[in-house]
Amino acid sequence: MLDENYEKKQKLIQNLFENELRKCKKLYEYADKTLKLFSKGKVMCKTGADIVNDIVEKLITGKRSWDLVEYPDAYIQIKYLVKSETSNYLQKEFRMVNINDFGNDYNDGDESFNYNNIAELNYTEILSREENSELINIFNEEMANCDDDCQLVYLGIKTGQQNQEIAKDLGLSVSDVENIKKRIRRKLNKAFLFYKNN
Amino acid sequence: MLRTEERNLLNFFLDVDNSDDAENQEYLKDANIDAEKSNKEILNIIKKHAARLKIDEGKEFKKNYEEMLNKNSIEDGEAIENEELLIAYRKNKSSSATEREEIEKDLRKMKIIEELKYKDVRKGKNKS
Repeated sequence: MLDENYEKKQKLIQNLFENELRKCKKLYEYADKTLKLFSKGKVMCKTGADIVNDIVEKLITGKRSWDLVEYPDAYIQIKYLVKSETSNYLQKEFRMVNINDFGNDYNDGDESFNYNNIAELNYTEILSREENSELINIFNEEMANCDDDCQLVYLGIKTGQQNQEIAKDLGLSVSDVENIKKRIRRKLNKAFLFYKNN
Repeated sequence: MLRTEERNLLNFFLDVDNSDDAENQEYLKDANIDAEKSNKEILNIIKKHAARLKIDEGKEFKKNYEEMLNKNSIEDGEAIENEELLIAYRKNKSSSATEREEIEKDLRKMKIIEELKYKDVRKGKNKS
Protein backbone atom coordinates (compact mmCIF):
# COMPACT_ATOMS: atom_id res chain seq x y z
CA MET A 1 0.00 0.00 0.00
CA LEU A 2 1.36 3.41 -0.94
CA ASP A 3 1.57 5.98 1.79
CA GLU A 4 0.26 9.53 1.66
CA ASN A 5 3.73 10.94 0.89
CA TYR A 6 4.10 8.75 -2.17
CA GLU A 7 4.02 11.63 -4.67
CA LYS A 8 6.49 13.68 -2.68
CA LYS A 9 8.90 10.74 -2.52
CA GLN A 10 8.55 10.08 -6.22
CA LYS A 11 9.32 13.73 -6.99
CA LEU A 12 12.40 13.71 -4.74
CA ILE A 13 13.77 10.60 -6.45
CA GLN A 14 12.90 11.88 -9.90
CA ASN A 15 14.63 15.18 -9.21
CA LEU A 16 17.77 13.37 -8.04
CA PHE A 17 18.07 11.23 -11.16
CA GLU A 18 17.02 13.99 -13.55
CA ASN A 19 19.07 16.88 -12.24
CA GLU A 20 21.85 15.60 -9.98
CA LEU A 21 24.06 13.43 -12.14
CA ARG A 22 27.12 14.15 -9.99
CA LYS A 23 25.42 12.77 -6.88
CA CYS A 24 24.08 9.80 -8.82
CA LYS A 25 27.58 8.92 -9.97
CA LYS A 26 28.73 8.91 -6.36
CA LEU A 27 25.83 6.66 -5.44
CA TYR A 28 26.77 4.21 -8.18
CA GLU A 29 30.39 4.14 -7.04
CA TYR A 30 29.42 3.64 -3.41
CA ALA A 31 26.96 0.86 -4.26
CA ASP A 32 29.44 -0.83 -6.57
CA LYS A 33 32.21 -0.81 -3.98
CA THR A 34 29.81 -2.14 -1.36
CA LEU A 35 28.62 -4.92 -3.64
CA LYS A 36 32.14 -5.94 -4.55
CA LEU A 37 33.33 -5.74 -0.94
CA PHE A 38 30.55 -8.08 0.19
CA SER A 39 30.78 -10.45 -2.75
CA LYS A 40 34.00 -12.27 -1.84
CA GLY A 41 35.01 -12.63 -5.46
CA LYS A 42 31.77 -14.20 -6.69
CA VAL A 43 30.90 -13.46 -10.30
CA MET A 44 27.82 -11.28 -10.25
CA CYS A 45 25.45 -10.23 -12.97
CA LYS A 46 24.73 -7.00 -11.12
CA THR A 47 26.70 -3.80 -10.65
CA GLY A 48 26.28 -1.04 -8.10
CA ALA A 49 23.99 0.75 -10.57
CA ASP A 50 21.63 -2.25 -10.51
CA ILE A 51 21.56 -2.15 -6.72
CA VAL A 52 20.60 1.54 -6.82
CA ASN A 53 17.98 0.69 -9.44
CA ASP A 54 16.50 -2.01 -7.16
CA ILE A 55 16.37 0.39 -4.20
CA VAL A 56 14.53 3.03 -6.22
CA GLU A 57 12.01 0.47 -7.46
CA LYS A 58 11.34 -0.70 -3.90
CA LEU A 59 11.02 2.85 -2.61
CA ILE A 60 8.50 3.92 -5.23
CA THR A 61 6.46 0.74 -4.93
CA GLY A 62 6.40 1.04 -1.14
CA LYS A 63 8.33 -2.21 -0.53
CA ARG A 64 10.86 -0.22 1.42
CA SER A 65 9.77 2.34 3.93
CA TRP A 66 11.16 5.88 3.92
CA ASP A 67 10.84 8.26 6.82
CA LEU A 68 10.79 11.68 5.16
CA VAL A 69 11.20 13.47 8.48
CA GLU A 70 14.42 11.67 9.30
CA TYR A 71 15.68 11.42 5.71
CA PRO A 72 14.30 14.27 3.61
CA ASP A 73 17.12 13.87 1.06
CA ALA A 74 16.68 11.11 -1.55
CA TYR A 75 20.44 10.77 -2.02
CA ILE A 76 21.03 10.12 1.68
CA GLN A 77 18.07 7.74 1.90
CA ILE A 78 19.21 5.64 -1.06
CA LYS A 79 22.80 5.61 0.16
CA TYR A 80 21.58 4.53 3.58
CA LEU A 81 19.80 1.53 2.03
CA VAL A 82 22.72 0.34 -0.12
CA LYS A 83 24.18 -1.99 2.50
CA SER A 84 20.97 -3.82 3.29
CA GLU A 85 19.94 -4.08 -0.37
CA THR A 86 23.37 -5.52 -1.20
CA SER A 87 23.15 -8.03 1.65
CA ASN A 88 19.68 -8.99 0.57
CA TYR A 89 20.76 -9.51 -3.03
CA LEU A 90 23.79 -11.60 -2.10
CA GLN A 91 21.76 -13.66 0.34
CA LYS A 92 19.21 -14.44 -2.35
CA GLU A 93 21.72 -15.00 -5.11
CA PHE A 94 24.55 -16.81 -3.35
CA ARG A 95 23.17 -17.62 0.13
CA MET A 96 25.93 -15.49 1.59
CA VAL A 97 26.25 -12.61 4.07
CA ASN A 98 23.90 -14.34 6.44
CA ILE A 99 21.41 -11.69 7.45
CA ASN A 100 20.17 -13.87 10.32
CA ASP A 101 23.31 -12.83 12.10
CA PHE A 102 22.10 -9.24 12.16
CA GLY A 103 18.47 -9.60 13.20
CA ASN A 104 15.88 -12.15 14.24
CA ASP A 105 13.13 -11.42 11.78
CA TYR A 106 14.71 -12.20 8.42
CA ASN A 107 12.34 -14.30 6.37
CA ASP A 108 14.38 -15.92 3.62
CA GLY A 109 14.19 -13.18 1.02
CA ASP A 110 10.53 -12.47 1.63
CA GLU A 111 9.64 -9.11 0.07
CA SER A 112 7.69 -8.19 3.18
CA PHE A 113 10.87 -8.35 5.27
CA ASN A 114 11.62 -5.07 7.01
CA TYR A 115 14.86 -4.21 5.24
CA ASN A 116 15.37 -1.10 7.30
CA ASN A 117 16.12 -3.14 10.40
CA ILE A 118 19.45 -4.13 8.95
CA ALA A 119 20.35 -0.83 7.34
CA GLU A 120 22.99 -0.26 9.98
CA LEU A 121 25.06 -3.33 9.09
CA ASN A 122 28.62 -2.81 10.08
CA TYR A 123 30.99 -3.20 7.13
CA THR A 124 33.99 -3.93 9.23
CA GLU A 125 32.27 -6.76 11.09
CA ILE A 126 31.06 -8.35 7.88
CA LEU A 127 34.47 -7.99 6.34
CA SER A 128 36.27 -9.53 9.28
CA ARG A 129 33.69 -12.31 9.45
CA GLU A 130 34.15 -12.97 5.76
CA GLU A 131 37.93 -12.78 6.10
CA ASN A 132 38.11 -9.97 3.62
CA SER A 133 41.13 -8.40 5.24
CA GLU A 134 43.03 -9.84 2.29
CA LEU A 135 41.92 -6.66 0.57
CA ILE A 136 43.72 -4.58 3.18
CA ASN A 137 46.93 -6.45 2.40
CA ILE A 138 46.46 -5.69 -1.29
CA PHE A 139 46.02 -2.01 -0.47
CA ASN A 140 49.14 -2.07 1.66
CA GLU A 141 51.15 -3.76 -1.09
CA GLU A 142 49.91 -1.24 -3.64
CA MET A 143 50.94 1.65 -1.43
CA ALA A 144 54.35 0.16 -0.66
CA ASN A 145 55.46 1.18 -4.16
CA CYS A 146 54.46 4.84 -3.76
CA ASP A 147 56.63 7.85 -3.00
CA ASP A 148 57.33 8.90 0.59
CA ASP A 149 54.63 11.59 0.81
CA CYS A 150 52.00 9.15 -0.39
CA GLN A 151 53.07 6.50 2.09
CA LEU A 152 53.10 8.93 5.00
CA VAL A 153 49.64 10.32 4.18
CA TYR A 154 48.42 6.73 3.78
CA LEU A 155 49.72 6.03 7.28
CA GLY A 156 47.89 9.13 8.53
CA ILE A 157 44.66 7.88 6.97
CA LYS A 158 45.05 4.52 8.68
CA THR A 159 45.65 6.09 12.05
CA GLY A 160 42.54 8.23 11.60
CA GLN A 161 44.28 11.62 11.39
CA GLN A 162 42.46 14.62 9.93
CA ASN A 163 43.93 16.50 6.96
CA GLN A 164 45.16 19.35 9.17
CA GLU A 165 46.96 16.95 11.50
CA ILE A 166 48.62 15.09 8.64
CA ALA A 167 49.64 18.41 7.03
CA LYS A 168 51.15 19.65 10.30
CA ASP A 169 53.03 16.41 10.96
CA LEU A 170 54.47 16.25 7.44
CA GLY A 171 55.08 19.96 6.95
CA LEU A 172 52.71 20.11 3.99
CA SER A 173 49.74 22.35 3.20
CA VAL A 174 46.22 20.99 3.64
CA SER A 175 45.63 21.20 -0.11
CA ASP A 176 48.80 19.14 -0.68
CA VAL A 177 47.37 16.48 1.63
CA GLU A 178 44.04 16.60 -0.19
CA ASN A 179 45.80 16.12 -3.53
CA ILE A 180 47.85 13.23 -2.20
CA LYS A 181 44.66 11.65 -0.85
CA LYS A 182 43.17 11.84 -4.33
CA ARG A 183 46.17 9.99 -5.71
CA ILE A 184 45.86 7.38 -2.96
CA ARG A 185 42.15 6.86 -3.57
CA ARG A 186 42.80 6.43 -7.28
CA LYS A 187 45.44 3.79 -6.58
CA LEU A 188 43.20 1.98 -4.12
CA ASN A 189 40.31 2.04 -6.61
CA LYS A 190 42.47 0.56 -9.35
CA ALA A 191 43.90 -2.10 -7.04
CA PHE A 192 40.42 -2.91 -5.73
CA LEU A 193 38.86 -3.39 -9.16
CA PHE A 194 41.87 -5.39 -10.37
CA TYR A 195 41.62 -7.64 -7.32
CA LYS A 196 37.85 -8.10 -7.66
CA ASN A 197 37.93 -8.69 -11.41
CA ASN A 198 40.73 -11.25 -11.40
CA MET B 1 36.83 -7.56 14.41
CA LEU B 2 38.97 -5.43 12.20
CA ARG B 3 41.63 -3.29 13.73
CA THR B 4 41.09 0.46 13.96
CA GLU B 5 43.64 1.02 11.18
CA GLU B 6 41.81 -1.27 8.81
CA ARG B 7 38.48 0.31 9.66
CA ASN B 8 39.87 3.80 9.01
CA LEU B 9 41.23 2.64 5.67
CA LEU B 10 37.93 1.12 4.57
CA ASN B 11 36.05 4.23 5.67
CA PHE B 12 38.41 6.33 3.57
CA PHE B 13 38.01 3.98 0.61
CA LEU B 14 34.20 4.12 0.83
CA ASP B 15 33.99 7.86 1.45
CA VAL B 16 32.69 8.75 -2.01
CA ASP B 17 31.29 12.07 -0.79
CA ASN B 18 34.81 13.42 -0.40
CA SER B 19 36.19 11.99 -3.63
CA ASP B 20 36.45 14.34 -6.60
CA ASP B 21 34.62 14.03 -9.89
CA ALA B 22 37.62 12.79 -11.85
CA GLU B 23 38.25 9.92 -9.39
CA ASN B 24 34.57 9.07 -9.46
CA GLN B 25 34.42 9.11 -13.27
CA GLU B 26 37.52 6.94 -13.49
CA TYR B 27 36.09 4.38 -11.07
CA LEU B 28 32.78 4.14 -12.95
CA LYS B 29 34.60 3.74 -16.26
CA ASP B 30 36.80 0.95 -14.87
CA ALA B 31 33.73 -0.72 -13.31
CA ASN B 32 31.82 -0.50 -16.63
CA ILE B 33 29.04 1.63 -15.19
CA ASP B 34 27.38 4.11 -17.53
CA ALA B 35 25.77 6.60 -15.14
CA GLU B 36 23.74 8.44 -17.79
CA LYS B 37 22.27 5.17 -19.05
CA SER B 38 21.51 3.99 -15.52
CA ASN B 39 19.80 7.28 -14.72
CA LYS B 40 17.59 6.92 -17.80
CA GLU B 41 16.65 3.39 -16.75
CA ILE B 42 15.70 4.59 -13.28
CA LEU B 43 13.64 7.47 -14.66
CA ASN B 44 11.86 4.97 -16.91
CA ILE B 45 11.01 2.82 -13.89
CA ILE B 46 9.55 5.88 -12.16
CA LYS B 47 7.50 6.84 -15.24
CA LYS B 48 6.25 3.28 -15.75
CA HIS B 49 5.22 3.04 -12.13
CA ALA B 50 3.38 6.38 -12.28
CA ALA B 51 1.58 5.21 -15.44
CA ARG B 52 0.65 1.92 -13.79
CA LEU B 53 -0.83 3.85 -10.87
CA LYS B 54 -2.88 6.02 -13.21
CA ILE B 55 -4.23 2.91 -14.95
CA ASP B 56 -5.09 1.32 -11.60
CA GLU B 57 -6.78 4.56 -10.54
CA GLY B 58 -8.84 4.52 -13.74
CA LYS B 59 -9.82 0.90 -13.23
CA GLU B 60 -10.81 1.59 -9.65
CA PHE B 61 -12.78 4.65 -10.73
CA LYS B 62 -14.67 2.60 -13.34
CA LYS B 63 -15.35 -0.18 -10.84
CA ASN B 64 -16.67 2.26 -8.24
CA TYR B 65 -18.74 4.03 -10.87
CA GLU B 66 -20.37 0.81 -12.04
CA GLU B 67 -21.00 -0.35 -8.49
CA MET B 68 -22.63 2.93 -7.54
CA LEU B 69 -24.62 3.09 -10.76
CA ASN B 70 -26.17 -0.28 -10.01
CA LYS B 71 -27.16 0.50 -6.46
CA ASN B 72 -27.80 4.27 -6.40
CA SER B 73 -30.97 6.12 -7.13
CA ILE B 74 -31.87 9.72 -6.41
CA GLU B 75 -34.52 10.18 -3.79
CA ASP B 76 -36.71 13.26 -3.69
CA GLY B 77 -35.28 14.50 -0.43
CA GLU B 78 -31.63 13.88 -1.31
CA ALA B 79 -29.45 16.96 -1.50
CA ILE B 80 -28.19 17.83 -4.97
CA GLU B 81 -25.42 20.37 -4.65
CA ASN B 82 -24.48 20.84 -8.28
CA GLU B 83 -26.61 23.56 -9.88
CA GLU B 84 -26.84 21.89 -13.30
CA LEU B 85 -27.84 18.62 -11.69
CA LEU B 86 -30.55 20.40 -9.74
CA ILE B 87 -32.03 22.04 -12.88
CA ALA B 88 -32.00 18.70 -14.71
CA TYR B 89 -33.61 17.05 -11.72
CA ARG B 90 -36.45 19.61 -11.64
CA LYS B 91 -36.92 19.27 -15.39
CA ASN B 92 -37.11 15.54 -14.90
CA LYS B 93 -40.07 15.90 -12.55
CA SER B 94 -42.22 17.44 -15.30
CA SER B 95 -41.31 15.14 -18.23
CA SER B 96 -42.95 12.04 -19.67
CA ALA B 97 -42.24 8.63 -18.11
CA THR B 98 -39.71 7.54 -20.77
CA GLU B 99 -37.94 10.87 -20.74
CA ARG B 100 -37.91 10.85 -16.98
CA GLU B 101 -36.29 7.43 -16.96
CA GLU B 102 -33.57 8.57 -19.36
CA ILE B 103 -32.94 11.79 -17.46
CA GLU B 104 -32.94 9.89 -14.18
CA LYS B 105 -30.29 7.56 -15.57
CA ASP B 106 -28.09 10.43 -16.78
CA LEU B 107 -28.58 12.25 -13.55
CA ARG B 108 -27.44 9.26 -11.59
CA LYS B 109 -24.36 8.88 -13.77
CA MET B 110 -23.48 12.56 -13.40
CA LYS B 111 -23.96 12.47 -9.69
CA ILE B 112 -21.76 9.41 -9.29
CA ILE B 113 -19.04 10.94 -11.43
CA GLU B 114 -19.28 14.17 -9.41
CA GLU B 115 -18.85 12.20 -6.21
CA LEU B 116 -16.01 10.04 -7.48
CA LYS B 117 -14.16 13.03 -8.92
CA TYR B 118 -13.47 14.25 -5.42
CA LYS B 119 -12.55 10.87 -4.07
CA ASP B 120 -8.98 9.67 -4.20
CA VAL B 121 -9.68 6.14 -5.35
CA ARG B 122 -6.10 5.07 -4.65
CA LYS B 123 -6.39 5.76 -0.96
CA GLY B 124 -10.12 5.62 -0.54
CA LYS B 125 -10.06 9.13 0.89
CA ASN B 126 -11.70 12.35 -0.19
CA LYS B 127 -9.49 14.73 -2.17
CA SER B 128 -9.29 18.17 -0.69
